[in-house]
Amino acid sequence: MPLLEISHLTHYFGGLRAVSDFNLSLEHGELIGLIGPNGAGKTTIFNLVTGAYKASEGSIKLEGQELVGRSPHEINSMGISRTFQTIRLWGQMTVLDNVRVAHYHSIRYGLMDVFLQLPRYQKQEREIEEHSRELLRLFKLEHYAYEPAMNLPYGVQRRVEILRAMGGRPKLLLLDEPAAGMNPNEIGELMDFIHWIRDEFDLTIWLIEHQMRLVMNICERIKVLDFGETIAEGVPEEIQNNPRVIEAYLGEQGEVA
Amino acid sequence: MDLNFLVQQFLNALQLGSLYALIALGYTMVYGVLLLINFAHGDIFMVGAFLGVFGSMVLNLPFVPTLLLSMVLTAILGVVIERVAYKPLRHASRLSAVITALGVGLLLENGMLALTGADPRNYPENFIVTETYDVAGFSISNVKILIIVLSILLFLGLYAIVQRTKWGMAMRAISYDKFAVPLMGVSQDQIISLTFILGTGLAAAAGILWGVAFPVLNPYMGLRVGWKAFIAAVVGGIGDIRGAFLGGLLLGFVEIFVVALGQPFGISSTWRDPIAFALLLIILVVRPTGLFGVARRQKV
Amino acid sequence: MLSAIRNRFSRLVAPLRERLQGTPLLVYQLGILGAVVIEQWVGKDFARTLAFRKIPKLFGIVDIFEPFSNLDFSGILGPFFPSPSMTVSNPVSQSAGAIGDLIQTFVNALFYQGRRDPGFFSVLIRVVVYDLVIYVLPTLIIVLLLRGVITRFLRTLPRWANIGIHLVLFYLIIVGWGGDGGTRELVLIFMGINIMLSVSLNLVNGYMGEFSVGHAGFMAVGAYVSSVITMVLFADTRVFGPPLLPPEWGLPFGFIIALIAGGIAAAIAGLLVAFPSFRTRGDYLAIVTLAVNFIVQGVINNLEVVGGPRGLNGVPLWTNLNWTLLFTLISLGLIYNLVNSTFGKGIIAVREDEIAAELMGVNTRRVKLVAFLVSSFIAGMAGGLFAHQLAYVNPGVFGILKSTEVLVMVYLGGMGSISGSVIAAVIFTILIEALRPLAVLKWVVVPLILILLMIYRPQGLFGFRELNLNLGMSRSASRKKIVTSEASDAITGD
Ligand SMILES: Nc1ncnc2c1ncn2[C@@H]1O[C@H](COP(=O)(O)OP(=O)(O)OP(=O)(O)O)[C@@H](O)[C@H]1O
Ligand SMILES: [Mg+2]
Repeated sequence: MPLLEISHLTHYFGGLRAVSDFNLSLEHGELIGLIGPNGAGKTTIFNLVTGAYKASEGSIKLEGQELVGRSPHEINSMGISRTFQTIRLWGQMTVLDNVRVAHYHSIRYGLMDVFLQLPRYQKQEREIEEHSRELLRLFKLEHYAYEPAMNLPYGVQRRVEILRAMGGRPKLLLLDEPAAGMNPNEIGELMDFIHWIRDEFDLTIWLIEHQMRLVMNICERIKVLDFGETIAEGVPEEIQNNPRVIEAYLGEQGEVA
Repeated sequence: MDLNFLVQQFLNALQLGSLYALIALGYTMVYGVLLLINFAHGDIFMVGAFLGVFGSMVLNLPFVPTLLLSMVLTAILGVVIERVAYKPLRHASRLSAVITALGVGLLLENGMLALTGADPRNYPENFIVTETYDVAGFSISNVKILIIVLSILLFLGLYAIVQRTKWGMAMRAISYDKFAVPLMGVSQDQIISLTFILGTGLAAAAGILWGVAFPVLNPYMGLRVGWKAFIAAVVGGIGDIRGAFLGGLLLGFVEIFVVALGQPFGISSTWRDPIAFALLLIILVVRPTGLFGVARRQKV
Repeated sequence: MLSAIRNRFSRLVAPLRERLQGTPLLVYQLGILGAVVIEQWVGKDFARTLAFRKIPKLFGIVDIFEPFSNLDFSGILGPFFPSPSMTVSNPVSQSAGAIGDLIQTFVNALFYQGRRDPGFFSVLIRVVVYDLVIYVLPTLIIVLLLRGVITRFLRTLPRWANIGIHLVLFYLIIVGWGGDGGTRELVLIFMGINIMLSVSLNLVNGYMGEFSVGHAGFMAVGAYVSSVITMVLFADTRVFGPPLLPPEWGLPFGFIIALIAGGIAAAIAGLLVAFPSFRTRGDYLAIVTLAVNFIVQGVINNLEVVGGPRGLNGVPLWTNLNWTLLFTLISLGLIYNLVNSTFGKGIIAVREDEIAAELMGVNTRRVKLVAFLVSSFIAGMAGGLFAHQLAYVNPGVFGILKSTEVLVMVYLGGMGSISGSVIAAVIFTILIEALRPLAVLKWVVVPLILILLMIYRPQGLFGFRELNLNLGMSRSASRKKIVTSEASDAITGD
């Protein structure tokens, strides 16, 4: 069974058809890309998959379970986590707390356990804290643990967002323009980093990106979107040479590659 | 239930509603421009009513000059409050400004109490002489007609200013885009001052009309009325002046007719407030942005 | 000039400050306890030596303002806004006359106003002497003497013993100083109630970032429900007749159950706000809370069984210092544990970015529900204590003014800070008590403070920070302490 199976996904904003008949089958362990000019509907697809918007038509299945109609936190608890195009960390909370809260769906204690600090509560909180610290260590961010997220440099915030997404132990990670605002050096590091988390955490990764260097280098498969329609799909070389893709990007990025 | 009773209740509702509406307009205009809930507005209404006492009892002015005097003085007060208390907070968090407004309201009502004493006031006998006309078998009092007509005229005047003039356009633009306003040839400060002048002036007019209709004035009179008018503004969709006016009228009708129609079922007049508020609550739950408010959808 | 005085003063106390740096809390507690014992022992005599009729009430703060209780400002603007019964010929001269009189009274109040009523300066000097001799000096001496010993002793204690000993000393101080059954006890009880109110409102307004302006409504529900329970079950009252149960069962169990029932009823009323909060945020939700406050008040006004607008008389006078302390500490514990749990951090995440919270797995509805329920539950219990302290409640008490008082405390203390709320409630209660002689003017001073606070220190005393108490624990014992999550300089940074 594919990890994620999207069929005939369509979404309207009022009269605007932002996504039309989108299909995708994602196998466990894949690393694929979604590209397209501004306003093509890429972020909207992520929002549909994570439940931020409810799809107008079509179905999204995670390991056979329908996601359309579920609330975002439920979808998150089923194993999908994401980052945002513009950073949405909880600014006044420390980095550690940002990661802790991402464990929310693993909480099994009740209010009474909290109030009375019962063993059940203590045990789960300890596990959450340990896992959070472990992640911080793996991401080499432990010295920021007690910094409020909003005080961090931009690049670090981007990494913290990925870190936070990992808090919920997702199977599928959606990255919305992870390289936005980075210089070529940082993009190089980011590519290694993305490979590394996929292997380290045995993840499936689906990313949106405008930086063609990154997409063409690390994605195994790429989908191209324009005005909500899928205009091309295939391995990087095919996409680079596809006339429709080049046309869609003309006047937009200049060139593909 | 006889027809005359219904007509009377209808007039009562219009009267009460248009007073709420006049106050609600001030809330909604300030909100539209500054995104600030001006919790002091109800107390500005009270100050307007009290300035009516000053005009009529001390200066012995007749109705119209008193009304104008009170509107002018109250408008000055409104601008001063904005400059002294709200302006320093324009770039602070919205919450600080709201809390400050709460403080200004308390200051006005308790300051008034401390400085003028607690005796109830009213306007002199000859301020407005009540007359009752007989129209097609219905008795209609001149006070009610005056209040209703004057309120509607004031609203229409305001609507014309907001819709037709350069100032009004700037006023509507400012809540969407602060930076566009200077391009229109007016400064942000001017627009904000104008908003306070119009809003507080209308509140003063409402204060005097209220004092004519319900002749007991005390420093706390603005508290309940103000909060209610505020709720009316929200129900109308805060930020929209047509909404505020309709919200005010709606509240007036709900309050009057809950009592009028409830009486046969044993609902006494003291149920007026809780039922009115409960209805408003339901409206807000069903339409969280009010009748005229547009939901600004959060993009993810 | 003021800053010059402050500079000189701080230079004067600098050496003392240096010596006291890092002194654990316990040492101060012992010092204060010493002062309390000394007051019990010689306080009355010393007060009489200073020509006080009684021991000064709250460190003399109340006594200081007493001389001004005769001031009447209503003549200043009164002539310009005359009531029908007033004859006004020349308002300007009338007003000038009133101001003249006022100045006269004020000057008298400062210096001397007859044999039985001393002037402000005379009271001030004697109050300062009393406080110095009875409180400050003994505390300082004990602190300086015991500092070293206690610091070393504390390091040897395990965590539970450390906390226990602090609590015991705290209790001894409170009861020793305030368990007199008089003004002090009353003030402490209101302090506890105010702490419960401000901390519980802070959960919603500070931690969750909503703007609830109707907290008194929940207090009212708790007050009435618990009062009705205790009156019907355990008291012989005119309203409800003879008790249904033996009155001696009332304390302690009946009272505890009644208070908790009041809290639960208030939490149910909290649903009226919690459900709309799923769809509505910000200003619109503020209106909902306001409307709920009005609705609660209006409904009680119309319930003849509980006396309608006349109120409910004959509530058993059961609230005392111990009960208040117990429930205040329980409330603080509940909220502290909540906001430090991962679940509670979810509440803060909702404040910071609700959509991101929901997408990262936080069940935002559940989080909001819990925050509103816990908040109104505690407000309800506070209302119950309040009613059983006054023996009489009426719906007018639980209006917007009361809600505003709680707001003032929350924003004075700072959003998202438990210790801030506690300290603000303490300061506010004392302030209100101290300003009592000034009558109406009290409610001019309080909003002025609020406005100045918002202009000059909008984050409040402790916005998003917690006061760090030096419990003097050794490193290994304190390592377990739950780390305060919020930014230490999040606000001061800008
Ligand atoms: N909440 C919304 N309401 C209405 N229209 C929306 C909403 N969100 C997105 N849109 C519209 O849907 C279209 C697709 O937007 P989307 O954000 O998915 O584009 P994108 O491919 O992510 O572009 P970019 O590369 O700029 O991020 C755009 O025309 C956008 O204006
Ligand atoms: Mg996008």
